[in-house]
Amino acid sequence: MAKRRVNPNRMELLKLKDQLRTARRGHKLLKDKRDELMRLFLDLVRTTADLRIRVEDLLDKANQEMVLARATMQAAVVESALLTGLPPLQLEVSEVNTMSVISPVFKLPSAGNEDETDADAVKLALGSGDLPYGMTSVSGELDQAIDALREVFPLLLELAEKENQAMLMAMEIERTRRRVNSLEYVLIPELLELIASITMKMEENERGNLTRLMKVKDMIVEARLEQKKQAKLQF
Amino acid sequence: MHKVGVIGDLDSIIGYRALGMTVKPVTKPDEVLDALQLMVDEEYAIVFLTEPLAIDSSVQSFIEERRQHRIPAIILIPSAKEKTNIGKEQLRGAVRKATGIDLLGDIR
Repeated sequence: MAKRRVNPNRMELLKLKDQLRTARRGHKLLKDKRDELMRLFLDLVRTTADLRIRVEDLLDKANQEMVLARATMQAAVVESALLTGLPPLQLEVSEVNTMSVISPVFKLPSAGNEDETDADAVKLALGSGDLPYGMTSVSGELDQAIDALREVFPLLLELAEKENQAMLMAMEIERTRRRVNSLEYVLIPELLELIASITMKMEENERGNLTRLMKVKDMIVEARLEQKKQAKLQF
Repeated sequence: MHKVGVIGDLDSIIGYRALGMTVKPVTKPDEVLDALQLMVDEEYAIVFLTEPLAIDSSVQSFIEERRQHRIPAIILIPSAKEKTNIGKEQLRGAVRKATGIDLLGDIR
């Protein structure tokens, strides 16, 4: 371990002890944060994984429908049918803060009705049930394909939100764990060692001082005795 | 308000146009990066990317780097053509990174 040089005096000792207190408190807090993050993360990841499996299944089905649709029509017809119409899909993005992990929340814009449900919002955003192309040139398979996609859409939105949050959380957990570890295995032991060495040096100084005093006292006593002896001899 | 984009091979993504998403058909990794960058610049809320395109390492590092930012959320979806499991793998990777253990082993 890289050793820091410090002056062995009380000022330093006080400072270090203060640092140690702060480090310990920080360590405890970070540890709590990590544990709580982990708990939330595991819940989130489980639901996300389930959701992903569901979405992938549904998307596979939608893809199959689409393949069928494209098989029954000319490619140009499909493309031109899908090219037209619809205003671009817009989402409202807000933020949610879970344990200092800030992640976006996606919401379909609502029409402003109070008793509006999510399903209504989906309908509104995706063009209320009507398909964005004429009936004549397009086969029914395409309708089914689009319907399948529309059905997945709310789930897809949820997946995007949750998965994104899970990824962000994973990063935060890793960061927090690093900080916990560096406090636990580097900073705190280093401080303890420094404090111990300062205390030891100070005790050593104290002992040195004591022996010096004793020695000085001995010398003074000896000098006094000598004086007395001299005085007696003179009489 | 933010838009939603889809990047992938035309066959897999054309249907999303009917949902009002911005559809960007691509084939090469370079095009993927360009399309992604464009959608990042235009502040899309979500970008869906078909899985086979995320195999490329430059695309992967781009996604990894974008994670630091709030939006867009880049989410992988299966393509019509090949079946890869990168989406699930990514989630699994996140779990491994966070916990140090592969906890999702039981969920396929």
